[in-house]
Amino acid sequence: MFGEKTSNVIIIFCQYTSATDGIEQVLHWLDHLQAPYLRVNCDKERLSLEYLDLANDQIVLRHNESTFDLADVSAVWYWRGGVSLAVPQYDPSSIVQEIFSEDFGREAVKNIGMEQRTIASYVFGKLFKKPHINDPYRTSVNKLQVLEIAQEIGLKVPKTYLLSSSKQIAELAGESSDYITKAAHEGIMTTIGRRFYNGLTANLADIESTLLNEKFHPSLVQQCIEKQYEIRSYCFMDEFYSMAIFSQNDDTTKTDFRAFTQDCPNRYVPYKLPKEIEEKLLRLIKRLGLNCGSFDLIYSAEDEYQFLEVNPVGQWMMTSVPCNYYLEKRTALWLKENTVQ
Amino acid sequence: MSKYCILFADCIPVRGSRKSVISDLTRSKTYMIPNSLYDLIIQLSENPIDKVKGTIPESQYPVFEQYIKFLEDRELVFYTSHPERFPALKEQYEEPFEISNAIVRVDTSQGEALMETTLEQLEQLRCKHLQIILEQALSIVELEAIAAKITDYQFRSVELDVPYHESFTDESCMPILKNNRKIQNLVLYNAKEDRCVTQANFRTLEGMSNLFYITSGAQDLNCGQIHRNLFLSSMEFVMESKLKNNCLNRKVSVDSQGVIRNCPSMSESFGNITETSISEAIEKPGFKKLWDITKDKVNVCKDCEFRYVCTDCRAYVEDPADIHSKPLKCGYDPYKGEWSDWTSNPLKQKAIEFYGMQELVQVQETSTSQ
Repeated sequence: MFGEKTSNVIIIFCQYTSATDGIEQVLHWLDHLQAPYLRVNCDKERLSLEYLDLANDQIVLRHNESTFDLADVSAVWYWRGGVSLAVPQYDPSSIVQEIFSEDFGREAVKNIGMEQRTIASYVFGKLFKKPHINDPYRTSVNKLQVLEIAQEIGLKVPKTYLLSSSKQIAELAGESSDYITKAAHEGIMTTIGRRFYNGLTANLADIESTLLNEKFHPSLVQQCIEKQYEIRSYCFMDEFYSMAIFSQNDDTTKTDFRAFTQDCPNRYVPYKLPKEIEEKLLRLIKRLGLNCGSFDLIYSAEDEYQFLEVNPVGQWMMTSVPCNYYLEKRTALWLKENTVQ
Repeated sequence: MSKYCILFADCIPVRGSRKSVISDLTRSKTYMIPNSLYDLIIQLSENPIDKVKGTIPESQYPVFEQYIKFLEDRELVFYTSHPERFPALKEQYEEPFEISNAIVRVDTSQGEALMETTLEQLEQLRCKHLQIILEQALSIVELEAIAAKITDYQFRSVELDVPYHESFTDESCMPILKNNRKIQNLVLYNAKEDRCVTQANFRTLEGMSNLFYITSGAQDLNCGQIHRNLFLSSMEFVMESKLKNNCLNRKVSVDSQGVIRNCPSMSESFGNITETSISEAIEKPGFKKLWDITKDKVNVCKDCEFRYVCTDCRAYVEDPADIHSKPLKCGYDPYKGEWSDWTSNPLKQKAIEFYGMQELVQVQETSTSQ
C-alpha cells in the first residue's frame, strides 16, 4: 500500500557532523550489528506524514522514498537538528483563486503551518514515547533553574549572582574569593566573515572596572572555584561514564608556550564518581525530564565536588575516546536491544 | 588523609626481563625505566607514598627522591587521597569493521582497473589505513593524477610509495601532499639519500604529512612497519597489541597481480581479486589464523618491555617451524636489555629519556592490604 516498507527500524535525527562527533561510529556499529536504521539528516530532510488512523492507532510516516509504520519503530535517537514534519511549500499567490485576495493566501499558508505543528507535536510525541536517547523538545535547560535544583538536591554549586551595576561588582570585589562571569544561557558562538567568535568564561579581575557602565544588563557572576581537576561525566541510561581532566601543570620554566601545549596536552583519564554524587546527579537529570546528559563538575582544592552545569544533548566522544569507554558501541547496542550492555 | 602518588591511566607501565617502560599514550612517548622503578610504581599504586617510603632504607632516599622527581617532571603521576576513584583504562579494542589496514601493490603499466577494483572493495569494507605501492616509474604529472584519484576514496590515511625519479624534489612533491591531505606519507623509494620533509596537516593523526626519501627498494616496503612507527605509543596500538596481533589483525594485502593475502610477505594466497572479492577471501579458513597471536604469546617478546609498543611480524620469524618464535628482524635481547645493532632499533626515534638512573636496591615487599 505504501511502497517499500521497513520494519523494526531505528530512527536517528542528526545533522551533518564532523568525524569527531561520534555519529558515524555509531552508524558503523549499527551496520555491523545488522540493525536497520533510518537516518534523518535534519539539515535538509524532514519526515512527512503519510496517513494516520486514530482508532487503529496507526501512523505511517515517509522518509524520502520509503515509508514506515510508527508501530515498527523500535528506538529513536535524537542527535542535533530541528525536528519537524515537512511542510509543503505553498506560494501564497498560488492559493489565490479569483474570489480570494492575496492576503487570504498568506493567512492560509500561516494556517497550514499551524496544522502541521499540531500534527507534528502529536506524531513526535508518539515517536518519542518509544525507547529513545535524548528528546528534541528538551535540548536546552535553564542554567539558573538547574543550579537551583542542584542546590536543592544537595549538590554543592558555586555562589552565583546576577549583577547589574558596577557598585554591586565593587561590593563583591571586596570579598576574598575570585569571581568569573559567563553566559546565563550559552556563550555566543558564531562565525562572521572569516572570524570565529566563541564566548568563554572570563575572570572578573581581568575586566577593567573603568570599562563598566554604572548600570548594565544583568550578568551572571559566579565564585571561581580553585580546582584540583575538572570532571566531565556522561550519564547514559542511568550509568555514569566519567572522566577527570588535569590541566597542564604550571611550569614557569617552560617558556615556549606552543611547544608546551603540543607536547603536554591535558590528561583525560577514567574516573569514578562517589555513589552519593552519582545518585544526586541522577536525581537532577530525572527532575529535568532528561534520560541522558553530560555533566561538568569541579573537584575543588577543598576536596569538594562543585556542580557547574549539565548539557542535555551532551558531547560524549570526548569522554569515550580517551577513557576507552566504547560509548559508540554501547549507544548502538542500546538502540538495537534497548538494554545497557 | 594519606596521599597516594599514582600514574595517570594513560601512562602504561610494562615490565620486561631486565628493564621496563612507561608508555604515555596521550603524549606518544615511551620512557625506558629501571625495573626497580616499575616495582616502585606498582607499590605506590597500592600504598600511600609515606608508607612506601617507610619500607626503604634511608641510604636509598636519594634514589627514591630521584625516581619521584622523574615521574613528576614528566607529568606521569599525580597525588590523590582517593586512588579508588581513578580506575585503569579498560582493556578493550574493537572495531565495527573486518579490515582496518591494507597494503596494495600496483603495476600502472597494466592499467588502473585492478587498482580501482581493489580500492573500491576496500572502501566498501571501510578500511581506514591504506598503503599503496606503485611499482612502475612515473612522471610528476602522473603522480599528481594518481594521488588525486586515491584521495577521492574514503580512507582516513594513505601512504603512497613511488619509485624515486630525478624530477621528484621537495618543490614538486610537497604540493601533492598539500593538495591531498589524506596522504600522510609520500615515500620515494630507491632514492639517493634517506631524509624526511614534513609539513603541518591537521587532518592526519600526527598532525603532519611527511615526504620521505629512502634508499631502500620496493621489496623492503612489504613491511608496513618501516615508516609506521607512527602508532607506537597510542591507545589504539597498545590496546590492539594486548588483545590481538598488532601487525596482522584486520590487515589485507593485494599484490600487483591481484593476489589476496593477509600480509604481502606471506606466501599463502586466499584467491585473486579478479575472481574472489576481498570480503570472501578474508572469510576463508586460515585467513585470520594468526590474528590472535598477541605479543604475550610470542617467545622472547613476552618477556620484553617493548611488547605493546613494538610491531610484531609473523612472516619472518627466527624459527619458521615455530609460529610463536621471535620476529627475525628484531635486534633486541630483553634478557640482557641490549640491542645487538642499535641502528636497527625501531624505537630509536621514539623511545627517549633513558635516564641512566641508578637502580634502587632492596625495595622491600610492602603489604598490599590497607
